[in-house]
Amino acid sequence: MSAFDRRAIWIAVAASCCVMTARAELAPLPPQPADVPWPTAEWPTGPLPEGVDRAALDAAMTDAFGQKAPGLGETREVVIIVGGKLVHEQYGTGYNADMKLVSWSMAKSITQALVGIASKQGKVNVDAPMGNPHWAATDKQAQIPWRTWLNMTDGMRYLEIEAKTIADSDASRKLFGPGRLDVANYCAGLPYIHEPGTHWNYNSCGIVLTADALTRAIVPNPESPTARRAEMLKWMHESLFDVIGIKPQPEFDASGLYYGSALIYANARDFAKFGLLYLRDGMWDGQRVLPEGWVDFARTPGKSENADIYGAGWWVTPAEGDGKPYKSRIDTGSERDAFSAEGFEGQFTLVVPSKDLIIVRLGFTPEKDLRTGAIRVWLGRVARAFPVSAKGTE
Amino acid sequence: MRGKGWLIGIVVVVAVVAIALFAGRDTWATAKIGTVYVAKQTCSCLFVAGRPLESCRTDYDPEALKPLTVEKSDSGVKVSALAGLVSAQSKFEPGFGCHPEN
Repeated sequence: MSAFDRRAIWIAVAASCCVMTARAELAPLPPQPADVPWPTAEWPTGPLPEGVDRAALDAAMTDAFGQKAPGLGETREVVIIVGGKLVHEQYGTGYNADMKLVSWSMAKSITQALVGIASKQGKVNVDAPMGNPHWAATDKQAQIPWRTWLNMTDGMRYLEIEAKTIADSDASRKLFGPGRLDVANYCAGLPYIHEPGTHWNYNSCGIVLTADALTRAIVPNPESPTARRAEMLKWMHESLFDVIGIKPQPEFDASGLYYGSALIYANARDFAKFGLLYLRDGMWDGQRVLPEGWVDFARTPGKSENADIYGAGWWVTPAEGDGKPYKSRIDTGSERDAFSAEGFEGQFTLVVPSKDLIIVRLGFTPEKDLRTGAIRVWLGRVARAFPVSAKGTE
Repeated sequence: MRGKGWLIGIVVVVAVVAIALFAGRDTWATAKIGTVYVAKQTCSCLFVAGRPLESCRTDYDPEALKPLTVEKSDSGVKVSALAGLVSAQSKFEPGFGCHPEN
């Protein structure tokens, strides 16, 4: 064996150790119990499992649906899944299990799934530059790979969480202001202030551009905006929605682009099915829907010097503390393994692997109440009412 | 002196107009964005979520809604403000949800 071969083997072994170390930090994702059917057609139901703190759960639901607890706003739909079964659901007055409510930014997590599926289908290379027709090939942003966009470490100057007014917010401006008729066009024109891959900034425009690039990969030469959206929607159904049995309504701008970063409407049961796809590591009823490692990518913080709370399209529990640059941790218990799809005004799909648990909460929590963090405390209360599952720690 | 008085007057008027325009810039931009926001989201609330209009109105700060006129049609929502100076329409298309039209 040559020195070169020995060196190559050593590098391979060292690299696999690193991968194993990195993976070891993530909680194992529990498989679907063999005796529980997949909920493609409908959710199997079951009683609350043993070990649940019923008093704590009841108190949390009373606080949420009584609308008297400060900072929670109005809770409209709650669905709780344990071990693949629906064990609790509750609806506010005027709401029901069929009613599709707005995802806001939970749509980003769905876009992350769609990119993974396109990658698995060979339609995109997530490690290659994503690009955009508005950019020259030599532009710095044209070199940014898909993964970096999904991690939100692209370096774009985008203002949303820290915007002082509606008129200052790029989120408002892109959806309802100057960008409203062609959202991707607005986003493609924003400047860059950080070296890509170094600094995290919550960036809805990055996900809009990702949705735009994905749509161009799936529907490369549409005849019209209406054809573009029809073909994209068909692909979404065939590749994801129909596979896991959900009937969401993504919305599209006038250019035929699904917004990607927001504005998918679905009921809580369907958001829970989407959460189950991630809890089961991208598997569904014996079929691999998401590429291997895609859920780990989603729940691993991207490389940046300033943040530990965001993976790829999903919020994650920081390794220690309450999170930087924002205190976003949902305290689900000592395992610190939860990850979540989150949307404006208090939309959550919370996934807790160690408890084999999914909590969906849809509602209306005004911005001033969101800032108190009360809704995160409430989600933590609900999650902590459930015990660690033996299956969740396998 | 009389000539200087006119000059000062013109400067003051220009300054007041400039300040008013500057101060009103954000109000105008907010009104524009606000009408589009309410038109789009109310459209989705009605046609995608299937909620009644009164329920949809609870998605907004009541004070913010006061100056807005919200009109529902068979295929969308129109919202106007500032005595009709600012308005927005959102269209519902079955299967594709709502989007701003203008």
